[in-house]
Amino acid sequence: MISLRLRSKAFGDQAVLGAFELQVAAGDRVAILGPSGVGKSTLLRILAGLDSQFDGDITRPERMAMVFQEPTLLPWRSVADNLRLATGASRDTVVQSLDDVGLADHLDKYPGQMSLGQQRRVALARALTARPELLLLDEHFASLDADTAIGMRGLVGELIRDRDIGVVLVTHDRSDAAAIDATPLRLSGIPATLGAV
Amino acid sequence: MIADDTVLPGPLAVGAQMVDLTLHGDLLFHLWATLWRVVAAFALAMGIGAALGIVLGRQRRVDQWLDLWVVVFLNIPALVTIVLCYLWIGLTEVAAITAVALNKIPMVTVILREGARALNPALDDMAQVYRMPWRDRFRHVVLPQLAPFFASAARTGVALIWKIVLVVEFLGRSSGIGFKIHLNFQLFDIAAVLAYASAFVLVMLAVEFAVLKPLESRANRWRQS
Repeated sequence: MISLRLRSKAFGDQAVLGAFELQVAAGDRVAILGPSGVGKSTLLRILAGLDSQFDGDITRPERMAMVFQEPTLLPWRSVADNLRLATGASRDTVVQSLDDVGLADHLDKYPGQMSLGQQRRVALARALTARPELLLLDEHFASLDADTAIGMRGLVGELIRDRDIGVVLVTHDRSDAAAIDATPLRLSGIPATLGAV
Repeated sequence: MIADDTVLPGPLAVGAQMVDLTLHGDLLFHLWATLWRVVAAFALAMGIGAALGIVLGRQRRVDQWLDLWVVVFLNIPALVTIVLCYLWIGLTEVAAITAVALNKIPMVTVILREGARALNPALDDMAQVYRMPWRDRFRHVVLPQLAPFFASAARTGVALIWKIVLVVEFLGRSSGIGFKIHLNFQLFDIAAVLAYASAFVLVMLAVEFAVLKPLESRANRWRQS
């Protein structure tokens, strides 16, 4: 479904990512582990199509969604509009998605009226509303308190369990990978390459 | 010391003159002529200035290319632009409105360029990943971020434009508040000068409270919630 054959990715003269391949098929879950600054987010940006300045080949599915490190919601639009505008979904679908993350009664609120944990759930609902073939998760539990992070891990695992979605999760925490039964891969070295844990 | 009424007429005298000119004179006709020029120049300046500002704020190379010209136009005195437009285009309505718009465009460009530079790249990424259509992106992602910059450009724009319109009318039109001020200046009729000027100030106050403030309040509703 997504196939990356990377030869290298550099910022100026500094090579950040080396040569490796990554394939994720429908239903596959892959967690990319590695310390901060190793290039995990750079790799995710390449997969998402946000960075095209790399040496290599990539094929992507038609429908992709991404949950960013920050909720990345439009603060001037209601929660329902945030989902509708990004995905083009009907109001019924939006209501159902928000119900799935336990926020059905927050439809008309603005993101600024919600806690960070709730905003992250909205971001997750937005991604799933897009009915993606491939879901990219970028350390989306970062900066949450321990209890909220545990709740979010459970929620993500539960929501993607029955869906035939390919998932690429980027994290430095192995328990995030375990929560969605993802195959862990380690990004390491200079320039970083991908290998089994 | 109390000033002579012919030099500094009191508010009552100016008010009475304004009422008289409205009911029996040509104040409304000239008010309308000036207002139309203000609206036309404002629309042109905001449209061209905003488009240019957004492009310069988003495209670094274009900005490097045109930055010097923006500074040049920003510093050309209004009078020079007005005189040149009248000389090149003639004493016409097109020349008048072009001269006013040219004076304001660089200021709108600079304000909107700052706004475009401050756009949140994370929201751009989100819009790109979700493949939002460009119209939705512009309307729901870009424009709301630029709203405070539009409001600032509009407010300073209206204030500046109507002052320049008066100069343009003073120098080369046969209608408008500026033309009437010119006429009454020659007659040394200070009450009439103040009456025409005050009438337009009242119109601009009405625009501020009836149009700009409600629009601003609507655009900022999400901040207040």
